[in-house]
Amino acid sequence: MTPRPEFGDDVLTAYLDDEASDRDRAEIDAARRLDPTLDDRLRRLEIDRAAIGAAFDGLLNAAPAAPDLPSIPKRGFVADLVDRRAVAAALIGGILTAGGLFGASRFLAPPSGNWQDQAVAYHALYVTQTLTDVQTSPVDTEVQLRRVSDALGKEIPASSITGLAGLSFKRAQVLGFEGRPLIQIAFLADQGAPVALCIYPSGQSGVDMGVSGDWAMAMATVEWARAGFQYLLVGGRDQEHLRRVAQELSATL
Amino acid sequence: MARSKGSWDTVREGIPTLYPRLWRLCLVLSGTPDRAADLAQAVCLRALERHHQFQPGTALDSWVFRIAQRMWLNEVRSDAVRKGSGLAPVEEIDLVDPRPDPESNLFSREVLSKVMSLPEAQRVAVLLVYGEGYSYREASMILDIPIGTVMSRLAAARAKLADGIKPQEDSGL
Repeated sequence: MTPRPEFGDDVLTAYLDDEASDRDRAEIDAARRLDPTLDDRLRRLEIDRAAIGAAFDGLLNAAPAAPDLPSIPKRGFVADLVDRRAVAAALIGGILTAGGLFGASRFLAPPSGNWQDQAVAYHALYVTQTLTDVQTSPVDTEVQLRRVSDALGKEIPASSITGLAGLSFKRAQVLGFEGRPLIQIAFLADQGAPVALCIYPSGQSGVDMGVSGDWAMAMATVEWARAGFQYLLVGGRDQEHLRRVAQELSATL
Repeated sequence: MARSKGSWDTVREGIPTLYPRLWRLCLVLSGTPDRAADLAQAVCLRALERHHQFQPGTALDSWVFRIAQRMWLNEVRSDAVRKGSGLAPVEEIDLVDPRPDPESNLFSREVLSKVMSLPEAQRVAVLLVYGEGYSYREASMILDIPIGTVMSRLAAARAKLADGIKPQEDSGL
């Protein structure tokens, strides 16, 4: 091996810090045997790392006390729900006006008082950026789905949620409507549209209902009901896709 | 199945332990204890706001330090530079050397004074690698710069520090 004639201070620094690549290390070792001036250059770069470490350690004792931190998330469940309902109401007001002016029908229908319409209004506030930065690890996915399963009283296994065609799981959260849990599981579709699966207990009077599609607030929706729970998929414009996802979910949930 | 801690709990519970190191980084970034305290508190709140971006199981310290570095560069630094208050002398910092003898305390002040007089980018690299013990790769991720830039900043720092902070024992060179 022919040593390089010159090594930069950055490479020599990495050598001293034991961070040089194997190749650089071998070349410097070889060059040191041939060129004694290289040791002089290394000596000129030498520092007392222990002394620097001790000086920095001394600073830790000078640090002030940590500030008081909130013990619960600042925007907790209740505040979140109230705020978003207020924003949703404002949005819906705007849509009502537009509907009156331009004769928009069910496609832009505002929510009535049922849980599905409230869930649709809530989801209408989602944009792609709401979810793009949400990264949920497999462990957090398990934790979130355990939390929503406990709240709902029904097992929502990760295997049913994380492998859905064309949808990337983002997060699962417990909302509430009229004293009962309303589960919202958010996804991003491959095309970037936010999609939500909402689940609500239908109570003792609930009857099973097959998959049916509709539109609300300019978004595709698909609903079904089974074994005491009602399901709603909402988001984007690809209703056929939502129907396929609904078939998949109704087979596994 | 045992439940794992969520991101909120991990960040909320981890910050108090981490705080002295965070403040130290903020001091090295900003140069004065007052600015360091303000920056460190702002970083804590930002970390809590963004707790959902933290992945439990990964290193909380690097994640929080990355936030500190970005907040300093993007939000705080320009204001501090505009006000022109500069670096505080090390004498104003209540430094306590963990070693018992007064001589080593004095030496630590001298060392720290030399380190703090380095340009900001170099002294932060020195803290992360020689103070915190991060690898070049880890430091490059915290600072959001290539590894080669970490190397060149440390090389420049070493060239300036080597005069006064030589190893006391023969390193074998």
